[in-house]
Amino acid sequence: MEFVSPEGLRLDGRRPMEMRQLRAELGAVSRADGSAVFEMGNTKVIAAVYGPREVQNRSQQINDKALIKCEYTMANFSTGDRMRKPKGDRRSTEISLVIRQTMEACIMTHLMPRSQIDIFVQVLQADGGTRSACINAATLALADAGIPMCDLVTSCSAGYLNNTPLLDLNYVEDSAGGPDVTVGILPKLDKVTLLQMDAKLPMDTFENVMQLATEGCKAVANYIREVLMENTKQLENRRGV
Amino acid sequence: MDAWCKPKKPRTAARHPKRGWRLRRSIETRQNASAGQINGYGALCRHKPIVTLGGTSCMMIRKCLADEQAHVPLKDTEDDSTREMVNVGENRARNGVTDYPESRNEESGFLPPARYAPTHRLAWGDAPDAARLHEIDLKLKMRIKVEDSNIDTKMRGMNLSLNHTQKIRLQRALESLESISSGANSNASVAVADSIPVNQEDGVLKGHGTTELEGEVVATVCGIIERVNKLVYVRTLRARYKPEVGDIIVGRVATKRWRLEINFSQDAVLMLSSMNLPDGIQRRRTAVDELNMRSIFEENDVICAEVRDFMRDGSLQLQARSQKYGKLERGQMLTVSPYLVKRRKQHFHYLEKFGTDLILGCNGFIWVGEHVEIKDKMIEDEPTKTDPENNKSPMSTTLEEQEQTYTPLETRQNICRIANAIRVLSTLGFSITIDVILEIVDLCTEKGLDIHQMLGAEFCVLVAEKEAKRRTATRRNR
Repeated sequence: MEFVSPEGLRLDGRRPMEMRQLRAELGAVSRADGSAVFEMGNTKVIAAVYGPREVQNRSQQINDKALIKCEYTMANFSTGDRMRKPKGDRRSTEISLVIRQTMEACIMTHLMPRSQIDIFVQVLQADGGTRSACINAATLALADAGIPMCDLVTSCSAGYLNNTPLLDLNYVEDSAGGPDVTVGILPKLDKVTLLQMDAKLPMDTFENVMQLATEGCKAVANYIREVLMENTKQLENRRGV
Repeated sequence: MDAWCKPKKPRTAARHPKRGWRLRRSIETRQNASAGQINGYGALCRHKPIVTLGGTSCMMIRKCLADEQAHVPLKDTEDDSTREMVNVGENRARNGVTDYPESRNEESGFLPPARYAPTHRLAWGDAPDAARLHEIDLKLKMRIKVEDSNIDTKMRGMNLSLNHTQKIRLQRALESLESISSGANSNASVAVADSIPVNQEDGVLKGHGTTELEGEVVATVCGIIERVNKLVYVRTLRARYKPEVGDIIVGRVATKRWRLEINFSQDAVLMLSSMNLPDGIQRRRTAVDELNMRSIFEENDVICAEVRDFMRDGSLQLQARSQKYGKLERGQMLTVSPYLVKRRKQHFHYLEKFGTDLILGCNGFIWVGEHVEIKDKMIEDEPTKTDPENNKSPMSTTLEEQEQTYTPLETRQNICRIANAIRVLSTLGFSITIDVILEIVDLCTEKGLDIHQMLGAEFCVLVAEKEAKRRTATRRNR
């Protein structure tokens, strides 16, 4: 199948180096300490953060840092076929773990000893790149909850189809069977916290694809920063003296 | 084709796009039934910035559009109409129409999304020249601006269905609020991982919400930069409560352990020895008291107390050493964000006009309840506590006791009115002080609104307008 037309356009009309439209909104869940909706094109994810709060299971309490828990779910209606088995499958357990580890890398857990932070992420619409969208949404929600982080984590995926590196794959490109590299970075520290790939790629191509994904992460970081800044200003202005 | 990435035969290549389309369509028609009807053009509009590039690429686009037309059931792909639709889109953006229909209506053909903004295109491979990048940058900024005006009318935690005039009024009020306060500290806000400008020569003390990275002071939370002499810290807005010794707080007894939930990262401890037990005498904790815990406080009871000190492990100790502290009954507890409540001299308020008590807890828990006479209660408590056997039997509810548990309707209404005023303030994100609350309750009675109408859209707009007026007035006085 032709994923990049001779004119250099992808199936959905993007260029190979083009991202989908980003949209973010803070405060989507009123009862949560922090929450966000994050959209990358048609992928839509909602995240809610509770905490830092008292540890629910005493035996899990850590005495010098916060306990972080993460739960990833896909809404039954998020995919084309209505999903039958909603919870506890291998894929969501794995992604929960991935998100938890990525977030743990940036949260300053030692500042909140003997407490627990819960991150709940749910996919509302799945159109490829749910993993990246979840991480971005979780970052926003954590920042909204006022939890200290050493840096924002942002994530983006890239692939390699028809001899072209493609940024931010959508569902059709994702299910084409080519390599899909998901990268999560700390943009300020310039470090990689997440790197996943399920296929093989030659070394030099991989470098190109990875760098493309990193550039994507940086673009996401810029957008997220802008949203957070705007939100902070708005809260402060409304509060008044 | 590279051998590594030879795509597998797509299993359902023909079906996927269609499925995707069907999903999108159903969601969008629900969301956006009223948006402008530009079916068939949405997919074209995404080429907008490319069209501006120049002759050759323009030709290319036309060619590719023609190609698409071969298998995409677009309604009309003539060049003129395309251009026209692009213009419409631009005008919308310029006029600040917030719907962004051209980005939502993409139910044209089988082609997936027109949501893909060209704005995040990266300089990779075919390096775009600086002018084009600048143009893209400008477009990005414009888009963000347009979306902001959309956010403005969105409230946390309340889904208001504002009609058009209300939306405009609310927006105007909020804008005027913004213009009032933006003069004070316009560039003091930071997001996570922004570096804070400091004068390194003077020496800097890094406070809360900051960290050091490569010689720079970097924020770890979103908030406002505050400077006190050498100390630099970031004051967070929406975060959990940070206790300070002497704060007056309202808490709720946790269901699992004998501790108080106070919106802090851990539950707080209120020792029996550090409170006045209900019979009025101070005494040391005894085994009997411990066993009869539930007769003093039950799970989910609301308690008012004062922060005494921190224990070595960072947990919190409370005390309730005066008659004004203790269990709160006959009222409502409200939860707001703690940044909306400022530390004041007075946190207990007796509103004589309404016959209610109001406790603004520093931790964002607010109590509105029927007024309790402290001394009277003491005297009444004495005899009832002396013969507990009498009390326990269900038949022995005396007339006096009934009077004690009965709250008149008017007081109950007043409690609800004040509570709703606080709710409105918290959804609008205005700081909550006793003056503002009373003003809003007055506004409600002045307009003759019912209690339930206070949570409606119209009252919300009224409150925003009132607050804007109040702040401009206080500013002029200064």
